[in-house]
Amino acid sequence: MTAPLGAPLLEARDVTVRAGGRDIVRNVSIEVRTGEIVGLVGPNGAGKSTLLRALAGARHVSGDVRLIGTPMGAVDRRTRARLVAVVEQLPEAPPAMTVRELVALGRFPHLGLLRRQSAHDQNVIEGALRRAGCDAFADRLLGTLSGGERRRVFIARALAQEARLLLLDEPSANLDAEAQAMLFELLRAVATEGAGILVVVHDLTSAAASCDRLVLLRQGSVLAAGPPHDVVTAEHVLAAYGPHVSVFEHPTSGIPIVIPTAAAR
Amino acid sequence: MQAALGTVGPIVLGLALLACVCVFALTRGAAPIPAGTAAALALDQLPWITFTPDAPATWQRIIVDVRLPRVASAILVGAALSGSGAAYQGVFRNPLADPFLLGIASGAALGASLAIVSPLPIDSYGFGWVPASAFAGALLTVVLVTLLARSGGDVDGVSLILAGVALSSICSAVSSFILLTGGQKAQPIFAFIFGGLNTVSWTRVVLAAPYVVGGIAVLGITSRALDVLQLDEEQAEHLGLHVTRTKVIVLAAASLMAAAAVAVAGIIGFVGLMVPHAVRLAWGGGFRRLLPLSLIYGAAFLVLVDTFARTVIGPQEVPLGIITAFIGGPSFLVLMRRRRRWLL
Repeated sequence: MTAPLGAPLLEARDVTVRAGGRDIVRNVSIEVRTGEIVGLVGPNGAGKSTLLRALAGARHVSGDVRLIGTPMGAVDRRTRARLVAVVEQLPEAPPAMTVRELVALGRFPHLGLLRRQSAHDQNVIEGALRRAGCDAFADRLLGTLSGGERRRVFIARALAQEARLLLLDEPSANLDAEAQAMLFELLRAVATEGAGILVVVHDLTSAAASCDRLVLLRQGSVLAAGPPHDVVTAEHVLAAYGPHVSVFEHPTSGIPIVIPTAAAR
Repeated sequence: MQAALGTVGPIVLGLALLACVCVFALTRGAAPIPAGTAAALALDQLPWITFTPDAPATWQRIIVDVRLPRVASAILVGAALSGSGAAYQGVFRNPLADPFLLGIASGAALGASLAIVSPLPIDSYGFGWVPASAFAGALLTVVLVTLLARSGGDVDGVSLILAGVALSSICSAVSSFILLTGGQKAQPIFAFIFGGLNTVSWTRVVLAAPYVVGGIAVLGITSRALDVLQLDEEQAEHLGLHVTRTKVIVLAAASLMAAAAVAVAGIIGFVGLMVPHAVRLAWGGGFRRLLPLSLIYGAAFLVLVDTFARTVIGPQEVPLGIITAFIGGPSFLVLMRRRRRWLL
């Protein structure tokens, strides 16, 4: 399955996720095309992570989720794993596994049980380690890594998967300002190569600065969707987050900046 | 490539160690036999090698009929126990999982005990249906222990061991009851409860070997999936692994091996705990390395311990299960204290 640049990779229509007797996500439609970064934003408990997980597995979900035109349910497990890489918010990291071993597991969908790692697989693994900035600690055990290093390792595994669609849940949490900027540069490069990226971002300012489109969730529903400028507005931010935060425009780039209202006075 | 080279060294080392330990085992006993002669007599048994060492006929009988089946069964049981231990640890993501601590060995022993006192045909060695019935007992226990430890979709590590220990006690109690009330026919159960290789024979080795080899083959094929299973279920699913199916297959294969070990040697605890752990400490945790190394070092370990068991207060034997418990109990406690580091 391939798709030309700009073609829809993921199309989700009227997705509803029920859990614990209530709708965590209600009638959400979302689309990710090749070459673009779509940011999923919203206050805590808006259903961002739930939606992302639902899209990743398309289980316990009502609605129509398509991967390159095919209903998600009809895509077999391994094909799906070759097309979609998922990095959850706090994935468990087996402490006694090395960084390189974990990243190499990204090749599993391509290798299956019996195929041996080829030179190509090795190159992909080393390339993923390098791009995600993990080559310096590739032989260390996962149990010895800092929170930020661990994030990058899972990004590296997603890269090693060579997937067309990346679903990332807050990959920039625990990263310092420089590492955050480098992460979004990396995601931009990966998108330019033809991948589509759906990323949950907590920080509205960095989401607006780094994503092509944003989807703002509130209480499980889409409050606004579109280019950052149209989504991160004073009106939407007030509706989603309340009066404690305010929106400004960056003086030269015009990118919306969200800061605490108290600090802006 | 790097991983492959990193595996070959320890494998060669392990095989050399295994060979040395085997020769040592063949020389030891009531009649000491020189290492060269013992090795030659043993190699002579291989179909494509002919040695005619200058040795008395009694030596040949001792090697071929007494010590060699014992070494062969120690290899089989040691490999089966530590291989299945490594697999259980992988599936349950719990370094304390072991056929004995999970109650699987006792379940298998109960299955074997029932076969012995049942009207099913049994050959003169008290075997026949024993391995199959032990396998049924092992499978039933592994299903029970998994269900008992399950809470909210995931298997809790502590509950798993607690459920295993409880089931183990129940199964052992029932086996003991059968032994006490089963009369003369039930006497072989005694050997299962204590665990040892003093009752082995070539027949047993030959009957149990296919179970072990089959289990090893399945584990070999699924070892990459076991690496993926070290991640949580959600990640494993995202990487395209059929998690439930893989777990069922691996548990069945591991239980087949554990049951075969019990059918040959009775309950021998802690081998499946200690050997994979030592291998992991020395060479890291990847299953494609851990599995073959656990098999080899497990075999060598048990050959050595069994030699000790039959010679230390010779001619009387110390049951093998007592010695492994003596070494394994403390290692379990050490592991338990350090468990957090390995689990988190």
